[in-house]
Amino acid sequence: MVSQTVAQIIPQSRYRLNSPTVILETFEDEVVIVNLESGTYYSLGTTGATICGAVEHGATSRQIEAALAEHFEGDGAAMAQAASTFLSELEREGIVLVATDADEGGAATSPDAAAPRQTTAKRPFEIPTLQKYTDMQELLLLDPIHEVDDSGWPKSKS
Amino acid sequence: MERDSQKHLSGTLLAETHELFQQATKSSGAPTNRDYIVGGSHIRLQFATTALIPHLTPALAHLARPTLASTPDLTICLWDSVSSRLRVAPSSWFPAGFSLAQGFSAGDGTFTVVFNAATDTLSVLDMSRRLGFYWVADPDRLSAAERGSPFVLFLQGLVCVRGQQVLHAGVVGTPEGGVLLAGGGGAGKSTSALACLAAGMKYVSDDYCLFSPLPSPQASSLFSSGKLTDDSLRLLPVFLPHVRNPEREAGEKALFLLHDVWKGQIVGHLPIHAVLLPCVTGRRDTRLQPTSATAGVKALIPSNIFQVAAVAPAAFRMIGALLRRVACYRLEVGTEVEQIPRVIRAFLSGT
Repeated sequence: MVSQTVAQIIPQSRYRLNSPTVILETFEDEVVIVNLESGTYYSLGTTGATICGAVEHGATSRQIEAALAEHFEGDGAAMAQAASTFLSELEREGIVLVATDADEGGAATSPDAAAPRQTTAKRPFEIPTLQKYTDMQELLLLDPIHEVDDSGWPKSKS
Repeated sequence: MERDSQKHLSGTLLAETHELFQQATKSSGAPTNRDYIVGGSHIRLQFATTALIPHLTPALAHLARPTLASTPDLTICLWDSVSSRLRVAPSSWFPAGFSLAQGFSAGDGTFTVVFNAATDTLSVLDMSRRLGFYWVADPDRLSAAERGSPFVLFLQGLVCVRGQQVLHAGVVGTPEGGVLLAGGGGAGKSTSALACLAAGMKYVSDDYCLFSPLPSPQASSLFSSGKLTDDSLRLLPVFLPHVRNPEREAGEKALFLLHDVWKGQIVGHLPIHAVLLPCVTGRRDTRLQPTSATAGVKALIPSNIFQVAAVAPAAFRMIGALLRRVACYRLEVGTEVEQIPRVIRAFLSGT
């Protein structure tokens, strides 16, 4: 049985970027994401960048599906399923969070906001993938940057 | 509450280090000042005794100025325990039970403290007062990295408020412009940069430069030093007579202070025309292959984003802005190192 995500159950549900912990930069068809707490960083290809860009602009899951249909050739249901699975992966990695009522200020206000990427000829749909890089985590363990504790001083990880 | 607590304790640490610096100064009678202009900022090094001067100033020799009348943008007070005979235990400056065994870094962007357990050095920076303190137990224990690239923490704290960034990257070029060499340790940054210097090209850095994104990407010189592994030194024997740490520990890089010999080639700044990602191939020839902007970002992230956590988002944005402005190439470094400057020079003449 395929488990359903929040996005599948509620078409108007939204995710939001887990900022300021997570920061991202967009380059044409790719996105690089850094988790400042874990030291993990990620790269996303074209499909993932489209989904992430829509999340960043406050799109609902339905608007994300619409953005994919606008940019890619493919079966609508399959694209929706892939987007939902991908969003779950982003959530597991702590890149996005399920938006709550308190986050409504970031909601998309127009279809343009939900599909911010420039419209070009449609491309064949590819399953979105998340490339994960953990080499920075190893460096952080070698040269630990410490959390500041309640007393205001960094706590040793020893 | 947490912020107040940190403010109080950081204030205590500043007061303690200031008091100790003044005590150390008494042993010499008066501090010795050295002034520098770094990326447009006036930095004053104030030494309690002269012991640290030959260790920490040669890498900055190209930026030295006669004593300036202007108020420094940053004053760094320096002392050591050997020459001042001021025996102190760093643990006494910190809350009871706080372990210094591993070293640590912490800060909020304005106040930063770093203790390096390996070299027994403490750096404290308070940018709200434009004041830094640098203590080392024994000058002879300073590493080649610390002597070749001193005060990176202080420089980072200083320049980020000016919209600049200390980047871990090499920069070389011609009078018309330069390339930024990015990548992790062992990628070939230093070998490529120093091969270009040996071939007569302009040199900004082999490991750290000051990056300014506006109005167009530019890298400025921080240190007139270079470092090579023993393997790379065998490929570039021209640097052998200039090794400053011949009795270095296994694994430590050979250090060169370049100001005296290559003075004419060390330039204050160069516009950046491309980002090159060196990678050692084992093949004979060196060549450039176009690669993606994200490859450049990924090469720059590990050693640039997390050094000072408070400025990480700004550093990431700046790296992103750079890679959107200039093209990125993989520099496939071959075994004939003399090909490296030829390839880079040919590339720059065509841009």
